Amino acid sequence: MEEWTKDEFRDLLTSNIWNSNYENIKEKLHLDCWKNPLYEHLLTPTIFSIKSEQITRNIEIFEYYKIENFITKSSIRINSEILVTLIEYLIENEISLVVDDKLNPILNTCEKRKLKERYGIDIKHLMERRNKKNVR
Amino acid sequence: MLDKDDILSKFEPYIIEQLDEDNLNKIIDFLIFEKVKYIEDILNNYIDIFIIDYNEFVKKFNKLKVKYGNNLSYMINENMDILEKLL
Repeated sequence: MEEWTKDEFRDLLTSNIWNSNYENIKEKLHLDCWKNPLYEHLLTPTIFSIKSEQITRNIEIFEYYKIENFITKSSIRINSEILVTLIEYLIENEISLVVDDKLNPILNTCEKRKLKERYGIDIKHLMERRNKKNVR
Repeated sequence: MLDKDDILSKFEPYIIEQLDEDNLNKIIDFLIFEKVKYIEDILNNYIDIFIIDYNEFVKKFNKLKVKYGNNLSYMINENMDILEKLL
């Protein structure tokens, strides 16, 4: 693929890529979001495992809440619905989304058990509550 | 508990298709032996590392141990971002 001659994509050429297919690789490398230098650091082999919709949706969520400068690799792996629920929870509790010029670690935690053990956040409960609100 | 809906909503189907139960169980046992916690969370969020062949996985993990020392498992427990380096 001609893409492998470009510097920005070269680090993605890991053994993991052989598990993917040509169309997937091509699609991921040409997602519009990579045109924005803010997201260059997200170009890791992870992008071949995660669905495009998930990647773009999570970036949109970060942009919507104006925290796109702080997006991390882990936050791309968080289920989009969980991500929004966590952001809403922080806002509701007047907890800053950014701490010490970094993304609040809660938004970097895609682990449900850790969220509960470390931050006392029961994501299942929060999501149920959110869904009930949205139904009303 | 494995959150199948979460996994299916996030990961490419080819990842799920390539999961091999025997390989997956061997990697889980290895991670437990290495004192890595939150296995359930790793499965839900880093299922892609479980398609790596077990022997290759062990090799990559041990290589990371050389780089990060015996603190690797603790570091993974603190920040799962490190698991990306296995990909």
